[in-house]
Amino acid sequence: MDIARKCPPVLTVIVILSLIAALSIRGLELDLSLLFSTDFLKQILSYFYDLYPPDLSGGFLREALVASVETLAISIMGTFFALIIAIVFTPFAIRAMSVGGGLSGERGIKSSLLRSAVVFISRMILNLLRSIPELIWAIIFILVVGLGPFAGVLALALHTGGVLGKLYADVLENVDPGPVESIAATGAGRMKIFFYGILPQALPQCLSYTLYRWEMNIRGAAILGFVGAGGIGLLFYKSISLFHTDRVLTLIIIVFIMVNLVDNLSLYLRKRLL
Amino acid sequence: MDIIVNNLQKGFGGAPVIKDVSLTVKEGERVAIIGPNGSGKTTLLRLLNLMIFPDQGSIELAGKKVNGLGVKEARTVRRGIATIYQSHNLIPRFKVINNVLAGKLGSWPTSKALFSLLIKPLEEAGVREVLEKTELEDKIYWRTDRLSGGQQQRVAIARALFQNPNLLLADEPFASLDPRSGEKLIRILLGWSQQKNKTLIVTLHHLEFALAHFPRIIALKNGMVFFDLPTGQVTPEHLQQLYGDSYQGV
Amino acid sequence: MQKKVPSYPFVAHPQSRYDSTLKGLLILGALLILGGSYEISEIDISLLWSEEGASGARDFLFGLYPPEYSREFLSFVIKPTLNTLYIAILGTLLGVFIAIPLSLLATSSLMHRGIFASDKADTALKRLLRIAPFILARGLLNLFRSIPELIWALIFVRAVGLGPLAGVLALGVAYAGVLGKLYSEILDSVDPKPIEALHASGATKMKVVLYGYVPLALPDLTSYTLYRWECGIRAAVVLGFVGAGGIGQELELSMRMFDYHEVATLLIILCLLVGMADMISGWLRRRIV
Ligand SMILES: Nc1ncnc2c1ncn2[C@@H]1O[C@H](COP(=O)(O)OP(=O)(O)OP(=O)(O)O)[C@@H](O)[C@H]1O
Ligand SMILES: [Mg+2]
Repeated sequence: MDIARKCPPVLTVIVILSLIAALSIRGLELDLSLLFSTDFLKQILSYFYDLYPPDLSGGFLREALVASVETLAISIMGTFFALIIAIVFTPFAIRAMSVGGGLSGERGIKSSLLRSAVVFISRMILNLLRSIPELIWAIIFILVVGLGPFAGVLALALHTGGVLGKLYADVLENVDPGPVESIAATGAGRMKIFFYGILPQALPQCLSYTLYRWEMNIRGAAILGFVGAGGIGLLFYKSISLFHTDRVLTLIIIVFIMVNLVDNLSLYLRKRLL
Repeated sequence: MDIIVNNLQKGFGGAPVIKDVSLTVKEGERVAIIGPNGSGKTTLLRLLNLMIFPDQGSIELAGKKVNGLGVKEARTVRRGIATIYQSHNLIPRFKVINNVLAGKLGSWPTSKALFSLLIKPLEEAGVREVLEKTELEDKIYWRTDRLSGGQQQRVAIARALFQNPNLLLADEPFASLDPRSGEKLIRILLGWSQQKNKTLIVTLHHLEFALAHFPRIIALKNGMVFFDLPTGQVTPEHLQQLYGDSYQGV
Repeated sequence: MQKKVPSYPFVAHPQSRYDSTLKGLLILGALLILGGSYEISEIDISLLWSEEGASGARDFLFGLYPPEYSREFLSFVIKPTLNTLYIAILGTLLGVFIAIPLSLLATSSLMHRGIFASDKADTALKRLLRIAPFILARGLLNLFRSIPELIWALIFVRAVGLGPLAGVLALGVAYAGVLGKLYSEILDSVDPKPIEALHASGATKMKVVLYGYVPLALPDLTSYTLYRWECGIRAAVVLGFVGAGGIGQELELSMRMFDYHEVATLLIILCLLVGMADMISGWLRRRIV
């Protein structure tokens, strides 16, 4: 049957994965017997049990709410600046649109070499931005602009800018060429082809990716405080380090609510876009 | 616009798709191009509207050699040529009006194009006029992908008319139209060509249409001109040879 | 020549007034939110080229060069690098293990909708019993997913002590949430026709899952899992910052000691690691699809 053929050799995959897992466990020198001891389970469960009841005192709640508004703000501004970074880089990362690209109609080896070089370099820069996690960017930016939410915004912006730039480039490169040609055939220039032929096809997908990254950035913004880059992370760090377990639960609840609000809002917007 | 094509050849990496095509079309002529699938009709039209460039041979439009033109010059030439594509190639998310307005992009400055797209569609009156001809005036503000396939094809035809070209190339424009609409639209295109003395080249699979409405028929087969005759001289034998044994007659 | 233009008072553009008001309101709202966020997050672009900011950036950037390449340091970082890789692998695997059962329970077309739903009118209690695991699984996945992995890591560091185990557990739990949700979405969107054919031939639910859903969804499932593994490497690095070992911990140490040469080396290793994971998973994904 056709369905069965699509399935890779399951047994082989399982064996290989087990081998990799065993190697990793040995490499990390994990003591797995610990995992199955009752002590271990008790320890974890008691830790979670101790979280209850949450600290709902007014002072702390107010502090936490202020911090979560700041977290939201950081995620929004971070995504917004990421959008700008991506918009600046994307045109250079696309073969057809880059310097001397197909849309400009220039042909010949020289322009094609130049184009390849520009595309390669832009893609490398996007990769670099993307490879470094936002937390590390945050530490770096604290050195530049000091402690506070601005460093967090810049950190999210750079990492997410790299991600979005790559995604946008991929989407724009894969639009249906038919409508693009029909616009070009009217004698329209590069800009007009882009706005009438390419962008309208790619826009919903690009916006959808952007919203999705915003969802991820609200989580990202929630941990930036660990290194002093603003948001609710600092409260988390303090509460956990100082064994204020009741506060940890409050914060978990707040983050849970906030993340879910953003997720649902963005899901709703994304559905409307497509 | 006079068209003179000499010894045209074009391939896409492999064997040539257009092999040694030569033909002359006078200003104001109405020509149907027929031929089996894959015979090179679409490719020929794309060569004529300068979307692709020939490997060999020459194309002259209105007395001017157009292969080997620079980017800007090619754009200027394209402005005078409207193309209706086989798969209509509209932007599904645009309102009908914006898809029609795109026909004028060649002559609009970029700022005007952006204003019309982002703020408020311009030249609504002109759009209504062409949409009235294609019987879509009540759909002017609809999203294009909410129209049926045949209605979308009519939007593409409206765009071409709106462009007000000197040469209109149409690739299977009636494929998804019902007989009445097909008949009506073919009359619109023919009337347009006759009235304004502009050149019209249409590829067709519908032989009845071709024989009934066009004074001249060019048949392509395997990338070559198989015959090029006034309609009166096309015989069933010609068609039999063009389409092979399975051809049953009109 | 302008001809007489007929006007169409009735069919003009039925929803456009409503549309444009709504659009205006939305744009206004978006601008307000952006402005508010701008204020709250204390953005001050001029800081970037202020004397202080520039000198901070300069110190850091120039400090990076040259990267530390002494044999001593290089041989020392091999182990943390491998550990990061191991944590990412084990964390993702653990995530997959937790995600599989939860995602099956959280897939509505397997639980209470579509072809498995019975026609019979159920009592309220029975319906509840059938829907309870579904809701529970969804809630758990949602909880796992909502809390960022670094916070999970902090919690697990408290619960099981410093070290890679906390990292693996944190990554596992967080990724179980992400993967579980994705899995159930993929399962829900599987082409229903072959499934119905199997079901119609009298196969039990278990068999339909094994012979229908799993093979049909497998390419997508693996492709997303591989993609998460890629993200997992970056995440594993970050987890090191709270004491879960690996290259992140070294990075944190070097940063705190202002040894930017070491930081440079570690960042290069990180980029290489991510690039390598990118390539491996890209290659595997192409082979599957
Ligand atoms: N961009 C391209 N790249 C490679 N081959 C192409 C390309 N465009 C067309 N061809 C090939 O050229 C040949 C002729 O194609 P063309 O589209 O011109 O045929 P057609 O006469 O329009 O056929 P149909 O009646 O099906 O529309 C086909 O064999 C096709 O595969
Ligand atoms: Mg064709």
